[in-house]
Amino acid sequence: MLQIAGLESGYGGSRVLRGIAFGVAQGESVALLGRNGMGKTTLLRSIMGLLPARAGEIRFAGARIDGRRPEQVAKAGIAFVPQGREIFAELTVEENLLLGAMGRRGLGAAVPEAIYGRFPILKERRNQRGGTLSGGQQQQLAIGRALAGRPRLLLLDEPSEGLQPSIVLEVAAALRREIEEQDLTLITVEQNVDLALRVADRCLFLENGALVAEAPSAELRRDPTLLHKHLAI
Amino acid sequence: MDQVLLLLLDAANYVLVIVLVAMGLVIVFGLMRVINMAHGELFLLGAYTLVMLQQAGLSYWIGLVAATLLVGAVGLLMEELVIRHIYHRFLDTILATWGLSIMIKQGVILLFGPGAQSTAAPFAAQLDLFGTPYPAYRLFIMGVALLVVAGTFYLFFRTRFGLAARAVIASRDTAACLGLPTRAFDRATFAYGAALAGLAGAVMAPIMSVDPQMGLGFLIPAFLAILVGGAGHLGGPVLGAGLIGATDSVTASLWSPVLAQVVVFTMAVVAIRLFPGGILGGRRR
Repeated sequence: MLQIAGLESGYGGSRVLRGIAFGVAQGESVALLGRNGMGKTTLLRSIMGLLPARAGEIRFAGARIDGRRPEQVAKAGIAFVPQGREIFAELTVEENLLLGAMGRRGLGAAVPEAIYGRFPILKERRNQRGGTLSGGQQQQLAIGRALAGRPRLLLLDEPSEGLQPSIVLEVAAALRREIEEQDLTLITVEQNVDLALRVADRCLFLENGALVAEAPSAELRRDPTLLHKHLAI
Repeated sequence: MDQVLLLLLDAANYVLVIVLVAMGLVIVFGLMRVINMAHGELFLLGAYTLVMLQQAGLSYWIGLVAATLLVGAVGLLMEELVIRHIYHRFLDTILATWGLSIMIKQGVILLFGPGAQSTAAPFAAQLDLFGTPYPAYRLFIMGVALLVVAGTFYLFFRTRFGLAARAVIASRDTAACLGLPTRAFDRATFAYGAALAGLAGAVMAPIMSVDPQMGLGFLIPAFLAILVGGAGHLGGPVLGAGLIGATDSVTASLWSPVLAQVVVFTMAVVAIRLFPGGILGGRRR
């Protein structure tokens, strides 16, 4: 589904990503782990086209997407939930979701009823302004908005940030169901190992802008050596 | 009684004319953060388009529609050639649009000369309003202004297009990540603002002297209306225009136009001191 080879990217004069190469299969869920400042967010932003790739290539469903603008990447079927969620605080919950649907499927698109089924709180609060929701509800709204466009690949940046543990579990369960029922492919950047191991089939470790290790989540649960080595636990 | 009614009508007329001119300006300034110094010249182009087409023998109504569309197209061109390269460079947009304003104004002088043109209103009737005769065309202008305000609010707050445009304005990157074509919305929003200036110019042409300086007289009160009312919300300039227009025309007719200027600017200074973001500015994030 997604194939990355020799990807280099960065901000201004600094090179953040150094020769990243990995692939994600359809319906697979992968977590990107690593300490702060290792390039995880930069990698997601590069895939999305928010940051130009300086070298290497990114292929999605067979077609090159590096060098495309974010709206073209989104149209191709990739959705991105950034760190801090970036919901439209002034717009209602329903309008936020509607924008997710319209972005990918045209101005006439409707919010898929399945989104409200997945996140019932959003249905309850549909006429409330996004800014009035709690952190956990905003995260659900951001994910719901991304899913409203029916993407094939979802990029999540720190979904657990600022959420209480019970909400993290709820979000993890909703994502897991989306992967299994909708054949969604997922790449999650996480600091929260618990969420990462729950959601992802496989974990990749990023250090100083390069991939240094990878392991299936099941294995990491049995033997957390890699987690201790690459994360500050 | 007649005097009071006439005063109210004139005040309402002036307020609505400022709203008509300010609406295009506020869409571009308030929503896209571009101060369009060439807005007055777009107004000018609208007026000249109407005059030229009428002199060529076409009807006023064709001229009105053509002026709106043509100036909208000029706005599209301006956005594509100049403005899109300097979004987020606030001072540069002032300089660049100022340059454009000089270009357009001098172009008009080269083509049509510095003198005044004039054109006739499509109807010259006087309507009898509660015993006071009032030019029907002035009522028409007020109607157009009200329609423009209502139409703009409808477009931006009741349609899918408006929802997407507001999302692009609120956060470009987020809107782009959802797949919304941000460039298309920039173009459309700028062209819409320009088209409103063209429409305002064409509507006003029959009751004023159509000369290369005509844009200036409305640009200053329009900017004042935005500053006083606040640019963060479309309602801001409507409120600002109401305050400025009403103060100006009431003071001018009761005392003198000079005193009216003094009062209006004093009021603007006080309003900006009390509400630095404009009276409705607090609604912005």
